[in-house]
Amino acid sequence: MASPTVCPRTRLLTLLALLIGAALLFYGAAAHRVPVRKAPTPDQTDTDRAAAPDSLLLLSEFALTRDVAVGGVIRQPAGDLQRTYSGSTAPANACPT
Amino acid sequence: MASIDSFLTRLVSRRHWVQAAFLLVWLDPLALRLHGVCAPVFHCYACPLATFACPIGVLAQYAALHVVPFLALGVLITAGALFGGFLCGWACPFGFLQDVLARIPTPRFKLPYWLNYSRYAVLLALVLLVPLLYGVEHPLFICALCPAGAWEAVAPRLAQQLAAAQPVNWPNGLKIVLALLFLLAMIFTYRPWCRFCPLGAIFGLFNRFSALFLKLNLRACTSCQICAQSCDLALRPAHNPNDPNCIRCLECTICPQHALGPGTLLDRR
Repeated sequence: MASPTVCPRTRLLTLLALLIGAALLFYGAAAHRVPVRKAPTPDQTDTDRAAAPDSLLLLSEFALTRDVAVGGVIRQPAGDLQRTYSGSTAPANACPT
Repeated sequence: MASIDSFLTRLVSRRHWVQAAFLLVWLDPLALRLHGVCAPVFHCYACPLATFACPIGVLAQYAALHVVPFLALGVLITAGALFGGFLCGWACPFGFLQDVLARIPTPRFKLPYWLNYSRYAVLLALVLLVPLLYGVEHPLFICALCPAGAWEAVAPRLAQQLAAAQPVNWPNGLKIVLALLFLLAMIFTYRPWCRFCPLGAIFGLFNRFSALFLKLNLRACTSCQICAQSCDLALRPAHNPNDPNCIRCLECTICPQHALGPGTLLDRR
């Protein structure tokens, strides 16, 4: 079969998309960290929790994606992210929907 | 790259075997549960056998959290730029389910072309805007409606709960209705979900410039329309071989003039 050509502009678009995809993959895998608060314990007030030095986790996208797949992270009205489970409770084993 | 072209052309008659083989990847045979990574196919991460996370679920959940999912976007853009709609026609497990049901000998109706625009509305509204503005609890959140989630995740989990005499978590009524409607549609029309699929909307955008594409030799084409008649999605390959709604099933390569065939970025001038 005679082979129609690939337009150079199309080739450029493809390579550009691949480059952008690779850059996003690299940044998402290697560098992107998302601050997420630990779930509060029953006896902790908001002030205690905010003041606790170890209440904030910096999650990688791998960990955050695993958590969102089981409804393990929610967005608080104030805008910060919080885990829905703590060390003493297990996360759900599937998405709540 | 004539070898890749001829390889793919020979595979066309065995496409369902290729789709079945991909199930070995998506259905977690090694129980790896790699839900921190999303696969470039439409498969619910709540499915008991899902290896990877669903990219649409990840996009929607991250929209609700107001966080940019760089990894998921990277997977989608890279996979789209390499394969475009080939992922829909050859790898997607929900597409495979629809293809299997399409083999049931029933009267088959072709859906109008304009219905394909619905998937962009689903992507923008249900996947991005609803979770961004209203959160995951909104009844129109994509995961609360998704028929793939209903059949791949809800159905097996309901069965598990019933078999173990546990309390049953029923999904919302709209999800049940949509799941049943799409199941019925799959028996009487070809790939009905693909007209609404937000992931297909994303990959279809890459059809015009993906590394793997469908090429048309205008000198060989006689406008016999055999390609359009063989297309189950009511597309016209001789008019636009890289239509964003094309799932690259390659059925149109039945062209008696061999004017249509798979092409790669490396095709020379």
